[in-house]
Amino acid sequence: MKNLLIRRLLLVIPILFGVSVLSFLLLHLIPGDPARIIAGIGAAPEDVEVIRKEFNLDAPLYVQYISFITGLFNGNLKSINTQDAVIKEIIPRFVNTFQLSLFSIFVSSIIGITFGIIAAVKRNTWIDNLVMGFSLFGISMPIFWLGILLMLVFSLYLNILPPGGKGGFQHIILPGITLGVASAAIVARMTRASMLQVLNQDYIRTALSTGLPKGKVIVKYALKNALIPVVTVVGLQFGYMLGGAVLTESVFGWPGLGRLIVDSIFNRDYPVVQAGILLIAVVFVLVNLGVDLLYAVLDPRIRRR
Amino acid sequence: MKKNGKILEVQNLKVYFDTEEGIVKALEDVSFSLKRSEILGVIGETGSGKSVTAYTITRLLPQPPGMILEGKVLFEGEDLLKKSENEMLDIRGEKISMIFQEPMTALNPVFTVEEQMTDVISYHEKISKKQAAEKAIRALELVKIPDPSLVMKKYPHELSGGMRQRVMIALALSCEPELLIADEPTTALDVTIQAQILALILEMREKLGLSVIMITHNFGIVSEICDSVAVMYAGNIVEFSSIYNVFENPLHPYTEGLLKAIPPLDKDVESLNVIPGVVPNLIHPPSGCRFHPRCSRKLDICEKKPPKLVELTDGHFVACHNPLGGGKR
Ligand SMILES: Nc1ncnc2c1ncn2[C@@H]1O[C@H](COP(=O)(O)OP(=O)(O)OP(=O)(O)O)[C@@H](O)[C@H]1O
Ligand SMILES: [Mg+2]
Repeated sequence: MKNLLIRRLLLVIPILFGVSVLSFLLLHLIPGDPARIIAGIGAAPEDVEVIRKEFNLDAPLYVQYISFITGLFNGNLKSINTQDAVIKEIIPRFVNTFQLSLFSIFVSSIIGITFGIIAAVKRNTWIDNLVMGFSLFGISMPIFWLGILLMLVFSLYLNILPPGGKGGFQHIILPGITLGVASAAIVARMTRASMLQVLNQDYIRTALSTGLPKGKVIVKYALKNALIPVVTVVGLQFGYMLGGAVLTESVFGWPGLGRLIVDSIFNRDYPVVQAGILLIAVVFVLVNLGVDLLYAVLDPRIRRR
Repeated sequence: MKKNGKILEVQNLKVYFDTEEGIVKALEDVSFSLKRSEILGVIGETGSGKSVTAYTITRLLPQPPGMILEGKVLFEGEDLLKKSENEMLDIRGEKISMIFQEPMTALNPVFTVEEQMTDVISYHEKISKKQAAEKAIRALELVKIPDPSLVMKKYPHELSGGMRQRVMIALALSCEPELLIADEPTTALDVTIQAQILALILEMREKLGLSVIMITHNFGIVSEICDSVAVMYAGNIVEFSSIYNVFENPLHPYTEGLLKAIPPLDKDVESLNVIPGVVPNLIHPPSGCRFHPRCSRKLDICEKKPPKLVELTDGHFVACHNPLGGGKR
C-alpha cells in the first residue's frame, strides 16, 4: 500500500510539470503577439510596450515560465483587472467551489448509490423503472432549469432557503442539490449496472448459501465489490465539480472558481485564467490520485503490487 | 433420531424456468432420499438438473425465472419448501451447507478469509467475532489447512485453488451442519488435489457424522466415495439405489451406458459421449420417457407415457418401461 502511494506520487510530478507548462503556454499558443492579446484590440502601441515590459515577454520562454511559476507563489503574478496577486484572487474562490463540490458529491453519492442498489435488487420491476426513469430525467434535465425550479419552490414559495449568495450553511443547500442531482443520476446508473453484475457472481451465491440475510449480503458483500467502478465515476464527477460549475454558480450567485475564470476570460485577464486552469488541472490530478488509492482500499488485488 | 433414519427426502420435485425462449422444464419428477451419515452421489450429464435440484433444496433458486411447481423437500421431516425465508436463514449454513465447483470465484475477492468465516459463524452461533475467529481457526484446522491463523488473514487471490476449496469446505462446515451439498467440488481442480478433497469429505463424514449429496458428472468419483447413487437424465431421476446395486446390476439403459465408459477421474462424462445422441432441449423435451430417442431398448409405450420411478427390487428404484434384467433378478 505504501509502495503504491509512493509510486503514484512520483507519477504525479511529471504530470504536474506538463500541466503547468501547458497552462503557461496558453498565452503563447494563441496566434499573434501576446502583448497585444493582453492589451486588447485597439490598444495604443505605447500600452502594448508597457505590457511587454511588465510581463517580460521578450525574455526566453523558460525564463518567462520560471517567473510565471514563482510569481504565482510570491504574489508577483498579478491580475490585470484588480492588480491583486492572482493567488489571492483564486484561492478564496476555490475554497468556495470546494465547499460546494464536497456537499454536492456527498448528495450525489448518497442518492446515487442508494438508488442504484435499490434498482439493481428490484431489477425489472416498477421500482427499478421508476428509479431509472428519474435517473434519465436527472441526466437530461438542464442544470439551470433545475436550479431555477428549486429556487422557485424553496425560496419564493416556501421561503425556507435563501435564493443565492454565499453565507451560512443554508446557502449551500440549493446549489449543492442542483449540482448533486445531475451527478447522482450518473452514479445511480453506474451503481445499478455494477451491482447487477456483482449479484450474479458465485461469491454472492456462496454468501447466501451460508445463511447470511440477503440485506447483509447485498450491503456488505456485494456493495464493496460493486463500488469499485462507481468510485471512478464519483471521482470524475468530483473532479468536474472542482473545476467550477459555471451554470450552477451563475444561477445561485455562488462566488466560485468557474465564474471567476469565465469572467476573467471576458476581461482578458490572462494571468487569472492561466492560474485558474493550472489549479483545476492540479486538482484533477490529485482527485485521480485519490481515486486510485481508494481503489486499492476497496480491492486487495490492486494492493498486491 | 427420525423414525426412518432419513435426513432428507426429496419427493416429486417439479421445477420450471420461465425464460424468453419458452418454459424450460428443468426438473420433471425428482425423488430420492438420503440416510444420516450417508454419501449420495447425484450423477448426470450437463444440463440434467443437478444444480437446480441442489438450489431447490436450499431454496436458493432464483425466482423468477425459477418456479417450484410441485414436490416436497423433507429435511428431518419438515418441508423446506413451506418455510419462510427467515426460517431458511437458520437452515442454510447451520443445518445444510453447500460447496461449489469453482473455488476460484466462490469466495469473495475483497474480504479476508477471516471476515468471511467469522461473519457466518458469529451470525449463526450468536457469539462475538473473537470467539468466532477461534472457531474459524478450528474449522480450518479440521480441513487440514497448514498455519490457519495465517490463512485467516489472507484474501482468496493469495491462495491456491486447492486451498480455496478447503477454505470453502471449512466455511461450509464451520457451524457443524448435518448435510453438505457439494456441487461438483472437484471438477476445477487437478487430479491430486481432487483426491485430497474427496478424502477430506470422507473424513468429515467419519468425524462429524455428516450426510453428503455429491453432485458430479463422474462415475469414478461416485465409486470412490458414495454409498448410494441417483442417476439424473433431463430433469428426472432415472435410477436410484445403493452403489452396489447400481454398479453390479444397473436397471436403466442410460445408467448402463454411463457405466460402460467410466472415465478416468479427471475426465467428464460429457466429453466422452458414449451414448449416441445428445441431451434433449428442455423447452421441448421428448414425449413419454425423455430418454427414448437415445435408448436401445425402446418400446412403443416409451414415446407415449413417462415411466414412474418405482422400487423394482428391494431398495432399487428405476424409471423405465423396459428395464434391464427383465425387471427381476
Ligand atoms: N436461471 C435459469 N434460467 C433458465 N434456465 C435455467 C436456469 N438455471 C438452470 N436452467 C436450466 O435448467 C436445466 C438444468 O440445469 P442445471 O444447472 O441444473 O444442470 P446441471 O445438471 O447442474 O449441469 P452441469 O453439470 O453443467 O452443472 C438446464 O437446461 C438449464 O438451462
Ligand atoms: Mg451444475
